[in-house]
Amino acid sequence: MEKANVTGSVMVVGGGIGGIQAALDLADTGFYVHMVEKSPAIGGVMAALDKTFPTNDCSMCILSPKLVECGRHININLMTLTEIESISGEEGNFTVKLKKHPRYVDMDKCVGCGVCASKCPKKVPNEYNEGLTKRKAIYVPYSQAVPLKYTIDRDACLYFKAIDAGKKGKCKACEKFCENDAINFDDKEEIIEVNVGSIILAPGFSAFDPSGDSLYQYTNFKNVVTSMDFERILGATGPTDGHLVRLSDHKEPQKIAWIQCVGSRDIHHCDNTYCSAVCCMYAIKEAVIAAEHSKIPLDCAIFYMDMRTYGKDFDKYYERAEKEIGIRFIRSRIHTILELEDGSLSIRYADEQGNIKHEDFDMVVLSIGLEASRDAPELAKKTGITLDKNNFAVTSCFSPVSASVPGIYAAGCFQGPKDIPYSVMEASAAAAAASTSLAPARGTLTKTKEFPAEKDVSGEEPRVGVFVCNCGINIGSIVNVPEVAEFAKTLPNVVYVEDNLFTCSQDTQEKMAEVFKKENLNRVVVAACTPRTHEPLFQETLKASGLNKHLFEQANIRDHCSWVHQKEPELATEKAKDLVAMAVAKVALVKPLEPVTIGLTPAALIIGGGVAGMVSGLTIAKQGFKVHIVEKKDRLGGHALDLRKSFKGETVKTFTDDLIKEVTEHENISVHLNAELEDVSGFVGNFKTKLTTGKEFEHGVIIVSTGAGPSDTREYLYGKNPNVLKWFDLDKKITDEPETVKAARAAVIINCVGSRDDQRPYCSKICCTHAIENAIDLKALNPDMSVYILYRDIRTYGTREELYQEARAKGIIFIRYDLDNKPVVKEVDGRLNVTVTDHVLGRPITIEPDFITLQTAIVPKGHEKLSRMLKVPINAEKFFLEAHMKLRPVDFSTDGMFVCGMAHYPKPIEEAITQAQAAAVRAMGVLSKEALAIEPIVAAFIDRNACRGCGLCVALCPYKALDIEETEEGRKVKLITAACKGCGVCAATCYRHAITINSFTDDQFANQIEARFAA
Amino acid sequence: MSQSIELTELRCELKKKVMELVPDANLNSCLTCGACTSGCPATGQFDLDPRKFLRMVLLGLDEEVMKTPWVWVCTICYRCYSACPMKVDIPQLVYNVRASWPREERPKGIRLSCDYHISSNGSAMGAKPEDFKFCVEDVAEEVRETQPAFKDLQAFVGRKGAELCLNENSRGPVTEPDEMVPLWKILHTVGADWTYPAIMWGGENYCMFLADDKNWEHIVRTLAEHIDNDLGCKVLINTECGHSFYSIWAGLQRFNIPHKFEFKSIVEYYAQWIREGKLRVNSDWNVDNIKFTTQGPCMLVRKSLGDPVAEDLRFVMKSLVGEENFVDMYPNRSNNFCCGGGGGALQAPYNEQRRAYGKIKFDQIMATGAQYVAVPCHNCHAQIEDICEFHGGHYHTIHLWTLICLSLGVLGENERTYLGPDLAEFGL
Amino acid sequence: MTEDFYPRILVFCCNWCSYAGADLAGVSRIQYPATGRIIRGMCSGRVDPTLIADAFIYGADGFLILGCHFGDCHYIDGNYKAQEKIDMAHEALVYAGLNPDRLEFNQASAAEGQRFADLNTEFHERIQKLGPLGSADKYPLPELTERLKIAQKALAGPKLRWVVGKKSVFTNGGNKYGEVFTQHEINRTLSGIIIDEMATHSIIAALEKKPAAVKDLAKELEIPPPDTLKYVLALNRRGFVEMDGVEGTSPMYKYKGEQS
Repeated sequence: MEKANVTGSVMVVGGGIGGIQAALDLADTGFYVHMVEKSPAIGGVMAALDKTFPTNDCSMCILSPKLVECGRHININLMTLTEIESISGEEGNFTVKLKKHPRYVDMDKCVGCGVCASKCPKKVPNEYNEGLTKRKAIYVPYSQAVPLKYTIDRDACLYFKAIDAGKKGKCKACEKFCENDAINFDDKEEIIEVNVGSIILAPGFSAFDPSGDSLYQYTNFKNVVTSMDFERILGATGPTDGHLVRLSDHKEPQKIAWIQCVGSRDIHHCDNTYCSAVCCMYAIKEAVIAAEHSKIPLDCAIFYMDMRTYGKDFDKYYERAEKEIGIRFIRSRIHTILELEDGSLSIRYADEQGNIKHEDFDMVVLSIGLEASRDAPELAKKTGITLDKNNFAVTSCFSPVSASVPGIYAAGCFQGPKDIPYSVMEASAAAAAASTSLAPARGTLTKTKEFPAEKDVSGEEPRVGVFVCNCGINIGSIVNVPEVAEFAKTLPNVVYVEDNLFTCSQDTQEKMAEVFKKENLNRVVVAACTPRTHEPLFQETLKASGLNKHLFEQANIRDHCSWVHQKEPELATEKAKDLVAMAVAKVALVKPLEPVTIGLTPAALIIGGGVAGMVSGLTIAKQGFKVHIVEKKDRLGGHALDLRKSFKGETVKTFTDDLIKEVTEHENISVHLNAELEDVSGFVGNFKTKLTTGKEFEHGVIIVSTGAGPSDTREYLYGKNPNVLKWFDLDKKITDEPETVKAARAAVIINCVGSRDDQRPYCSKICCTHAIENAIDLKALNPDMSVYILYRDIRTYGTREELYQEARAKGIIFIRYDLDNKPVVKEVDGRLNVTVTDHVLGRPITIEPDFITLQTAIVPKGHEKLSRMLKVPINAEKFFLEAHMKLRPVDFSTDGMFVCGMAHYPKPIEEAITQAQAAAVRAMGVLSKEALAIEPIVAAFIDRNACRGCGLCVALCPYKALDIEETEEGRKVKLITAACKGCGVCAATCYRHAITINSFTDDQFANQIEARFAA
Repeated sequence: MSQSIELTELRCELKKKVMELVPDANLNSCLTCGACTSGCPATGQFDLDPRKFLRMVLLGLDEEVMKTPWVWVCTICYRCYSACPMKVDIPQLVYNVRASWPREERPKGIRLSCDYHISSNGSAMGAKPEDFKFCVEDVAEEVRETQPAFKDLQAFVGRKGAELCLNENSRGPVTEPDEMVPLWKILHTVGADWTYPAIMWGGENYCMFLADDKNWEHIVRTLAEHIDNDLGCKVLINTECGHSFYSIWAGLQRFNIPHKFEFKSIVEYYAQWIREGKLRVNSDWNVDNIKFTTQGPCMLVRKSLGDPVAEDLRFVMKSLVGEENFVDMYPNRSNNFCCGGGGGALQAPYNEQRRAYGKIKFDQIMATGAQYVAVPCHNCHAQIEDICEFHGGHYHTIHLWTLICLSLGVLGENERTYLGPDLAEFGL
Repeated sequence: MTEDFYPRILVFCCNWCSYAGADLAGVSRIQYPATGRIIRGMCSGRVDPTLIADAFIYGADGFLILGCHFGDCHYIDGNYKAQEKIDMAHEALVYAGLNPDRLEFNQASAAEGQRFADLNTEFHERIQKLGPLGSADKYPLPELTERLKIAQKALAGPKLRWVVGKKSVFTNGGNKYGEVFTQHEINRTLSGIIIDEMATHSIIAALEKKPAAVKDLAKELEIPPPDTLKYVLALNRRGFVEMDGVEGTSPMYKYKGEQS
């Protein structure tokens, strides 16, 4: 490592989901994080969303654990109400001057009780609810806010208003009523200096403001709302308490329209040349949720230009919305909205044939675009980084999270509009990039968390506390939560019951910890969502209050109950009671377990030597860990070798060549060419791999980057006529024989060949942009060439839209076709002949092009075998399935395994690189540990008195975690803890019932069954 | 129109030509989103709409484009443009396609009006400056004699040194001289120092509709030079006429015509005079709560001065008829629908299409329930009257000056042509 | 069946596939009947045959066990082992009188929310048609329960567990004499053991209540008298039962209690 004198801490600016992810990744890989957030609380826009696409996950539900984790992470210094003032120094050693605005509330004294706000006389519009409700001048931004500390809004406060006007300040009601003496009107602005090695900027975006628009009349028509307003209207903590009603008269709407591209793809009513990349999906999501939410049948119509459902599972979501939920998709941009007397809204629109239609709607939702954060110019000025004309941070496709100043990184919507998973990936990637140069200082500034000594509960009678969660309205609107809580009080061993709006919120967590102590609880049941996401959070709370974390059980009354029995609230309530009873029955038998730690091999296996694999490998290697890259072919590079340039116009070849060289020469990297996996065994931290070449090695993590490639096709005379090309053939032709290409009079490019059909119901994502790039290049070679692109939807998301604009400006003709009316390609008198119906004129067009290029689908290859070998899932289209589509985009649900690049889904090179960096930092989360803690729930427990040493279990154990030993009492089975994964096959087999699995014992199972039928 | 299109090489001569003339018309940028189509009242006429029309141009179907009379039904009202996300200037395209028609094949009515205007050096109906002068003076004399309250009323033509110069629609002197009087009375009441120009006095410009740049420019330039050099007026006021306003407003910029005077609409002055208390109008007369609406001319509002002038118009209307008796059409102001009479449509031979186009406006007016539509525009006036009769409506179409004088109690007996029976005798 | 019969169904889910599939059904809002109650375990291979018996003894109308797809098991082959045990339990419980449709083993992956919902819906509909436990089974309640308890004892005992545990060894590598068994052979053996074990445990259960003669036992338990005698003698040899005098010409046997 060249730089030894670097600072082992990183500053993260912006406390949205991107900033949070970056902070957690850094803090978990040995770096201290200073997190700077301008507002009083972290959470960003995601905290205001209702559900998220394409899984319809409740946004707060998946965000909340991260908020809490971030809020109480020992290696994250959370600084709210803070802004960057100036920066000096350079990569590795920055000094950042911060301005900390006064909160006027002492964070240490405030308990978040809210008495101050209830007494405060001044009401102002509530930003969290898009101004649709009021908040007080002393407030918390939202009920699950982290930190849950009140803030005085100086501009609104009556006392300060008087002071600022030079008068004598009055009121101070908050101060009078605060029991904890937490109000401090003398609080002053502070300037703080912090030393950090790198800086990550993730200030997010600002939503487009349609207020000035005279055609859609957002300001004047009450039932015209923005998509952000609508999120709040759907939200449980929103202005209508989660009831879907229109704002003018609180009537339930029967018809809602969404209008797309408001503030996007528009150079007339704003100056936003780009596509906001997320609105199509969020509009579908809002329509689907609204339709499901509504008690009466709801007619939802989405007016759009191109339906841009280009991401993983997005097209299926779109299909389901249309075919199953009955959302209407109308391809037409709306000219004007008119308000009727009853507040309904009338829309006159032209269908695709040009016929005029009229429809009235109860509400209209404007799908507003994403603009650069309003803070971006100021931030750029202070940090010296470059912004583009839209005020998004400039980055290269090949180092997609590096801003223009070394040591400063950009993530999330700060560098262009994008959805949550992409922001999360970029955040992780930024964490990887930001820590690469700081690797020598890893662990120099971090602290270790101390928990209070564990209380000995052995010999105590079980005292169970039950916490039932409303989950906003996710549970509470279906399951009768108070009834479930009352029922829980009747259960054996239960001594305490309460219900909460959001059990996972930080304030609830803190209160729970106190309740544990006050009520002297020694067992806890939370009835809420799924333990797969939230168990660790609740267990942390147990630990913090001195309870062994295994004295816990979670009843899943949301994913398995309220969400899947929406039409049967009474039966759902009965089910919820049973689930609670079963959890209480189980937890009574649960015993404290001690964690087990094992060592690990600090090396990574990367499967696939394409760009993604190489980048992730290099990122890990640069941080000082050993890397094995296994590549099937005889050379590194993968499909990047066939690509000419990125969408920003950078040459891929130069980048790839450099990358291959760097990887090949790096001392920490072993490249295994012409090799595939023959066998993998082991578990996180301790894998053992055998290659087909016979080579064997050990490693701690696995990154799957096996890529995907163009599909075969027999459509459109491909393979029959030499002038029908696949897309990369044209790339080659443009590079290798530009003169031949130049001579062409006309060229046709056909999109969606093999994508978005019954066989492959997904969008290959990169083809639209690629087709347009090639078309522009054809025009550059020969401006007189007539170039036609036949498409279904143009999906040039984000700033790619500018390429689409450029292509149109150059006279490239775009003709839309439908799946049931595809272009026809024939050979007539030796010439190619294409017939397609023009989507505007409705008339057939025939073209005799010199060549036709097919944008064939991107398909994965050979994933089934690898999926089976690694025991990680693939989806129906054979792409690898990540642990969580939104917040764990590069993790597998199996510990120590990660995915990146096209193995996950078709994607352009900069996204593959981002994902590769993200996977690397996630992998580093394992590799950077000295030892791994093994969950003791998986370890088996052997009753040596009962064991006869028959060895049946030994024969059946898939992990060789059991062995026979000779003892004084004879042959007995012994456990090799580190190898045990807790499947329990042994326990289900032993006829002596001498062996069982901690936390999944026979008694516990039996108790659960008994509890279910006790009623 | 479903015959197939042979399209290997795109020639697009027409497109190229227009793009050279109007580089910022963004013709290529079309997203085919349809906002124009849904906003355009001419959609469906001759099986075309703005999107299809542009598409034909982009695909190089020049012959077909040149044949369709749709360009004469389109009133170049710019409602398509106002919603277009890509700022595609279809109205400019239509204008230039009109200009590409052989002059003799363009609609005769428009062409002759343009020619008369040029040859007469005065107005589209061919009245010569001396005839105009005689007519004005004759009518003024009659008013002074018959209406004692206006025994001092003056109406000048070509008076040097007047502060204000006002143009006049040629219908006034030629076919309905008494309709000139109410405006004179208004000017008299406020004590305006004004004159008509001696040449190019006609408040219309058919050469613009004809897409005859040369003569459009000639009319505006002649007038401008006349005002600056001969009269020295500080302000040119356009009378109640939309397209006339636009032809001067746009013409001054388009042809880069130097001028010293300020150019304003009479509507702005009405509002100003009422605000200043010079025009002491009120709505007390409207005891029967007769309902009124108004049509703001596209040429004046959307294409020229925008919402501020639309607000002036509403202020004037509300002052005249009472806030509660004014019913707006929806949509309105800069997003108003064109009535279909603009762009020369009234002089073009496509009456069936023009009336079908006007059906939107007719329905809008009927929806207000108003008995009267006040329009500060001659083309709108004629069209709105025509569609009322054609589609079987029962409202009356009036000029603002009529209403102002009615409110002031000075409307003469012969100045009531457009009032309905309920007001025909009012205040006499 | 009556319209308002709402079956009481237990669903076992493995942590990695089917439980995650159930979560996915949730986030996808795929609706299915509210009759199942999920018990989470790490692997379907953890399902102890006695646990299955437990479910029906406590009164479940149906038990649906869901694991990973074959080949996809997070624990390599836990679901294959589950299949063997569940098949055995199924056979024993059906032998005891349970309707075979009340127990099902199936698979759903983490990505198959829809499949999870479909499997639950189908199972629910099937059980709803069958009616409550005891109604479409060989015996009514509470007799069925008594018999299920006997089956549970058989399933808890060493014989069945040993054979099923060794099944893969026998079919793949052979026993210690090198004999390799076919699936068919091993299943036939298992069936025989189930019958023996069920009979043996029935006899023990009967003798626990009161001493009885072989012929009375044979009649009561519907086991052919020669077989009954064979089982009683075997139990006697192993010390589980002993003679308790003679009534008429018939020796009476009584239960001695568990011997180890």
